[in-house]
Amino acid sequence: MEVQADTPKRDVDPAAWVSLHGDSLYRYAMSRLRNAEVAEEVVQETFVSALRHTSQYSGKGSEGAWLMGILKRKIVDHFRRNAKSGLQIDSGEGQDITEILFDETGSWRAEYRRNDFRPLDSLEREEFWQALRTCLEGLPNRQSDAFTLRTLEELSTEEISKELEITASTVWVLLHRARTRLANCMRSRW
Amino acid sequence: MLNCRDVSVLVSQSLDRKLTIWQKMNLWMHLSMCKLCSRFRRDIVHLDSEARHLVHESQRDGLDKDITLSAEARERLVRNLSSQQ
Repeated sequence: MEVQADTPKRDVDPAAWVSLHGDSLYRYAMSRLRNAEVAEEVVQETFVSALRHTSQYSGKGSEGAWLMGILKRKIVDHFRRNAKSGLQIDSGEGQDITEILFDETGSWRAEYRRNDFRPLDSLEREEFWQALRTCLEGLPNRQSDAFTLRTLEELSTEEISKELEITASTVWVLLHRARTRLANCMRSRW
Repeated sequence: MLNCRDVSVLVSQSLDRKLTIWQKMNLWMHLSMCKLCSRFRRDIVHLDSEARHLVHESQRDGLDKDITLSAEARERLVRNLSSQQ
């Protein structure tokens, strides 16, 4: 008889696990992935992985925090798989935002010199959060992935460069375009 | 002298890496004279810090309370987990 290397410390009731942690894991995944199907898939991978490694849960911290740690890894894995698949590279970067905002001398174009833009720090938190979510969806994938990993997952440039197998300079370019596009999109919503 | 497009690049990179002393000096010189770039910097810095802050809050205080697993998704998860046991 095969001996299980990773014997669970206690029985797991799948329904109770999903009921207790499903929504918070899903909410976290949605805030990073913004796609219901992908978020569910990543939550599923998280539960399955946790089930296989229940003995790694020391019982010292909360079970929710342990599962969240696994989910974070799964989210980064998802971005890495996407970057490797090359699908996102083909999806294009859209028009270079700097060409939209700046003229050939590198100065702001006339339409961005107006004074009636609402500064982002005047947005209420709910409107800021909604605008960020909506505008992130409009970004080219590689830019939103870089922004999500850097700002929402708080990975360093070096970590993103390693995970996505791109150079640090490419990460900086993606982040610059993402932030510029986001700020422009979020401002123009009001 | 940096132009406004170069400044936007450095403003963004200043959130990700340490700029050289020359880059910092050039950046601050430009920003002290250019209202539009100062406005851009203010927006980008706020975007970065507020997004970090709110993504934590969204987990805690219900900013995303409308986002929940559907009954079908819940069922799929339980079914799949049960089959793995």
